[in-house]
This record gives sequence, structure tokens and C-alpha cells, in this order.
Amino acid sequence: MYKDTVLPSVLEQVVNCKDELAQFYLMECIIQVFPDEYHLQTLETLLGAYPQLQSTVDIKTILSQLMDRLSNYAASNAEVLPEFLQVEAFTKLSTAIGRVIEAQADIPIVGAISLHVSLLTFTLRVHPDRLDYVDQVLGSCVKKLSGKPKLDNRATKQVVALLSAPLDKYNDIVTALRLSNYPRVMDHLDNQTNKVMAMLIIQSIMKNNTLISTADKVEVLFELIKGLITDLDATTVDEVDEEDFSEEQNSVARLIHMLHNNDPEEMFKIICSVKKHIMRGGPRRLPFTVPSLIFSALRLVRQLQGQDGDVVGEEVPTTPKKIFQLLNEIIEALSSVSSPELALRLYLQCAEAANDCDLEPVAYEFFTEAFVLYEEEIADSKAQVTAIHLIIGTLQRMNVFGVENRDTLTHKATGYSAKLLKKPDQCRAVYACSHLFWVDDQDGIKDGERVLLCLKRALRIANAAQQMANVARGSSGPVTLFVEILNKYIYYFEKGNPQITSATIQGLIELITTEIQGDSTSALPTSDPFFTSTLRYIQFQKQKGGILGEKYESIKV
Amino acid sequence: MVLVLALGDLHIPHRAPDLPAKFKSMLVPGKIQHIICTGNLCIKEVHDYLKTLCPDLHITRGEYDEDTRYPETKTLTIGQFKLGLCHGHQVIPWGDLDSLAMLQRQLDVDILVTGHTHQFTAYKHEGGVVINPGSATGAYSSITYDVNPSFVLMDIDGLRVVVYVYELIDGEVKVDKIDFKKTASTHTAH
Repeated sequence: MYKDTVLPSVLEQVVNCKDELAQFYLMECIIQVFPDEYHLQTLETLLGAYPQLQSTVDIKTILSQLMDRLSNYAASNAEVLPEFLQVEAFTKLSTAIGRVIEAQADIPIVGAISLHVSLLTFTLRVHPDRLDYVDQVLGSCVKKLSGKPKLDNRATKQVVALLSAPLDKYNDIVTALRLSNYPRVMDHLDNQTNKVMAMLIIQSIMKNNTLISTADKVEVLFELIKGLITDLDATTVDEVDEEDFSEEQNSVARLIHMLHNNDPEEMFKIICSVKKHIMRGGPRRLPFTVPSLIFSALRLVRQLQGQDGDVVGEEVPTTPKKIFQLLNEIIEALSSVSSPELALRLYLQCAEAANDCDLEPVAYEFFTEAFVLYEEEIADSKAQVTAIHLIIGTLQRMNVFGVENRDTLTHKATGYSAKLLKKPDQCRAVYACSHLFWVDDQDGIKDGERVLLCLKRALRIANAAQQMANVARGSSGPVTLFVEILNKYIYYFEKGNPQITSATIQGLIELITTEIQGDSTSALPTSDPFFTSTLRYIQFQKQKGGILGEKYESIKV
Repeated sequence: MVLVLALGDLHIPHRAPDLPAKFKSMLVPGKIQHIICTGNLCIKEVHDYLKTLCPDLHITRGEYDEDTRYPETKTLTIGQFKLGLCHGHQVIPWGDLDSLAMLQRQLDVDILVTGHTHQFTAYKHEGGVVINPGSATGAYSSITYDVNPSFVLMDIDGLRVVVYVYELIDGEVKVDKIDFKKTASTHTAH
């Protein structure tokens, strides 16, 4: 009865009164007074009346109210959803909105967008599985936005609401990625808001632990977040706040770890896609984004390790070698934007990975690059100390090198160690190099003589440092370096280096004792806790007995 | 009973996006008295997060840390124990117990906590205990394959310390514990 009698006559009254205030009020009443099921069934009639109202009536608000009520109705009761489909609610509403926007051509853009927001909310509640509907709403919004000047704050807020709705609804960002009009809506945001939106997208992915698993989806994603990946226009450099920028780039860096597929071929495609995008980031962004990509690729290398690449079919499968080539290119880009320390570390990581894949020339190449950076770009003395230790530590673990290559690299490492700025640093780096000649593995190198040469060299440097301290301060410096070297002698003594005898150790102990007593005869050997604990260790080993106990027997502490 | 959280090598964002959710829900502010971190956080956000868990935060420098002002080594006394902290990339060969023991003697500490290898270990030797809490995020390591996220919680009570290691294996948190007792005769240096 409502449908056939009540509503038509009520509407006729409303239209005929031709008073805008009354019309608005009455339309609102109709929506609020009658139950939602009625509205659903009479949708066509109801919507049909709107264009007939006075042109100054705020139809948008009425339409929004209607859609919001219907959205809530759908949300409250899942059983009514089929009814929505039956009456083709979406199509009718969508058409009605189109008509309203067309009729009120000078509607402020905020109004048009908020209408779309209401319709989108409605669609997400009633037809969440109909991505085509959602995309349609976005598309209609794009049409409305094109050709318009920059959006003001309120309009921008509405657009952000429009874009956030699918994110919140579909926890899986992959669904949002399938909306072809989504990036087009984003394009209409100003740069700042675009970046805010991009951050929201990334946060949605991180929060829901979503994995993006194909190169195609990665492409779409990077299109959406392009505001963070490159400078959208040339002028923004100065205006960017340091902290905000870091936060944005670190988010992108974290995001890279969510791009993953267990299939090596697809994963390689993903890596290539990411590389392409981050390479456009410019010098300020690369130090943030490159490391993530490198490690993502190294994980793939490890996955491929040991998999024999049997070429099946025409496609050449992804091999570690191919990946290393890519890695080299990426790290090279980093070296040219003044992050030599980071680049050096990444080269060393790749060298180790190449070692594990048995690729000697590749590993050697990475070491060469690392040394070049060390020689030419790393000037700060503290940075040099860390860098040389990283080189030594990595080289010590390499087992892929033949004698010639290994000799060249160890020679370089020891050479640079001895040339560090401060004597104590030289001393420590040189005795660290001793480990390059002694690897505990079964077939590891065990060159006792060269070990001893390193330790003796370290001793000479320690002596020189001691003399310099004498000259400068008139008293001997701390004996720390000597005790450290003593500990190293003990290390190799226990490992069975024939070049190091108990006499050697005894001699060193006496040297240190003399040094400590150097200026004041009252100084006890126990005044240096490090020396004391070292002697205590020897005592402990003696008392332990067994093979080691025997070795230590002749040493007097 | 003093609780000390030892963790490190998170490598956020370079090698991992975040701590595992299960760890985050366990690490609640106000329960821990001290945090010692071996390094390689790597960014300020992680530092700030750790600070919210406990204001007494000690960090040593890892080779990828954004903040280069963290010290190379640190020592602190908690109850009857002297603890030493160092990232570990400075001690070559990496992960070598005897070389780490030398550092322990040098720092003159009972408990030495180092990282870098991303492999949880706890060794008792003549001088004391050497602990590696592993990587709290299970970050990629050139040294260790198949890294499981892990961290360590030490309960220091008088002369005794119980070391709890929490490891995330196949989505489940597994806990193990090791007891250490310090001998009452402390080594004194004049």
C-alpha cells in the first residue's frame, strides 16, 4: 500500500509545494520515518522524485542520508542483502547520483565526492564482492575530478576517505590493487596528500602482514606509492622535513620484505621490478631502499643454492650468477651517491654469498670492489678501522679462493691494516689478520709461519706505540696491546701452531711483567686486570690437565 | 630478582620489517629492569620502541646502525654480576669462543653478551658465560643459515643467573633455560 498509494501521493505533495526548505525537510522525514525495507522496494519512485525538486534543494545530503541508512540496514542484517540485489539498488543509486551531479553542474567538488563516498560505503557494505561496482564508483569520481583545479582541504579529505574505505574493508591490499580506477583517483591528490595516502597503503599491508606475490601486483603497488618512490615534481626537495622523509623511506624499505614469492622465477621478476622503481629514487632515497632489496635478493640466492640449474625449456632459469650480476649493478648505483661505507658492507655480504655458491670469480670481483671503496672513498679513520675489520672477518671465512687470489687479497688486507692512522688500531688489525692464515676447518689453511709473522709484526707496532707513549708522557703507556697479543699467542699455542712454543709464551709474559714494573718497582703484575685474568686462565688450563695441561706445564705464571 | 632483556641484530628495516608479532606481545613495558642490545637495530624507531619497554637501555654499535655514536663496548654491573656488551663484528674470527673469551678477560666481566652471528649460543667457560641472543627478527645472516628469531631474558638473583632463551620455531615460541652460578670468590684487582 505504501508503494502504490502513500508514497506517490506524498511525493506529489512535496514536489508541488515548490518550497525548497519544506521539500528538503519533508524528504528527510520520508527517509527517516519509513522503514528501510520500504525504501528498498520503492527506490525507483523515491529517486525519481529528486530531479523534480527545486534546484536549490540540497539533494546530495538527502541522497547521502538515504544511502547511509541503507548501508546501515545492510550491515545490521545479512539476510536482507539478496533483496538489494533483487531491486538493483546499486544501479539505481549510481544512476541517481550521476543525474544529480549532472543537474547541479556548479556543485562544489566536495559535494560530488562526498556523494561518491556514501555510495562507496554502501557498495562495500552491500556488495563487497562486486569489485566491478567499487571500481565503477571510483571511475565515476575520476570523471568528476578530471579537468578540475587543485582540490581544497575539505575535498581532499573526502578523497582520502574515498580511498581509505576499500583499504579498511578489504584487509587484503591485493583486492584494492585490482581496482583499476584507484590509482587514477590518487593522481588527483596533491603531492603531500598523495604521500600520506601511500603511507596508509603501506601501513595497511604491514598491519595485515599481506604478502604481495607477483611482479604484476608489485607494479600496481609501486604505481600507487609512486609519490614516495620518486619526486613527483622537481621542486619538492627543499620543503621536505628530514624526519618525515626518513619515516617514509624506512616504510618503503620495510615494504620490500613483504614482496615475496616462493617460486624463484617469479621472485626474480619481483626483484627486477623493485629494482627498476627504486633506481628512480635519486641519491637521497637509495641508501634507504637499496639494502632491503639486496638482502631480499640474497635470500633468493640462498634458496637457489645447491639447486642444479637444469635448463628445461627455452627460458633460462634464474641462477645465483644472474642475481649477483643484478646485485652488482644495484650496489654500484649506491657507490655513486656517496654511501661508500654501506656499499662496502653490501659488497662483502655478496662476496660471502658468492663464496657459498662456489663462484670464485664473482666473490673475487666483490672483494675487489670493496677494496676500491676502501682505498678511494673511506677517509674517516674510525670508519676505516671498522671497514678493515669487516674485510678481514669476511675474508677469513672464504674457502672458495685459490692460492693466488687468496694471497692477493690477504696481502692487501694486511697492508691496509698496517697503514691505519693510529698505532693501536694498526696493531689490532694486524693481529686480526693472523687469523687469515689459520682456519680451524678440516681443510682450512693452517700456515703457522705466516701467523707468527703477523703476531710479531703486531708486537713491533705495540712496541713502537709504547715508545711513543714514553716520549710523549715520560712513562710507558698501558700494556693492553701486549696482553691482547699474548692472548693471541695463547690461542694459536692451544690450536697447535708449531711455531709458537711455551718458550715464546714465557718470553712474552716476562716482557709484559717488565713493562708493568717499568717505572715503578712497586707496581705488581696484578695491577693490570686483563693480564691477571690471562695468567689465571693459563693457571686454569694447567690445572685442567690433559693434553693442554701438558702443553702449559713449563710455563710459569 | 632482576630481569634483563638481551637482544640484538634486528636489522630493521634492511633485513626485516618488524619484530615477530608473538615477541611483541610478550615484550610489555614495565616488566623488565634493564635492556642490553648487541646492536644493528638499525634505525631510531627501533631505539625508541626499546626505550618504551624499559628506560634503562644499553646499546653497542653494530656495523649497520644508523646512529654511529653507540659505543663499541659497554660494561655494567647488575647485582653481583658484571656484564659486558659488544656487537661482535670486531672480534675475529666471528663467533669464535676463544676469541670472545679474550674479550671477556679484557672487559673483566662475568657475563659477556655479543651478537653478529644471529645464532643463539650460551657457553660457560673458565672466565664466565658468553651469551649470544641471536637475532630478534630472524634476520638474514651470511654466517648462519635458517635463523630463527630469538632473544634472551636473564633473571639475576644473588650469585645465580637463569638464562631464558625464547625462540620462534615454525610459528611457536619455544623457551629453554640454562642456570649459571657465580663462585663467591670474586677476582679482585688492586
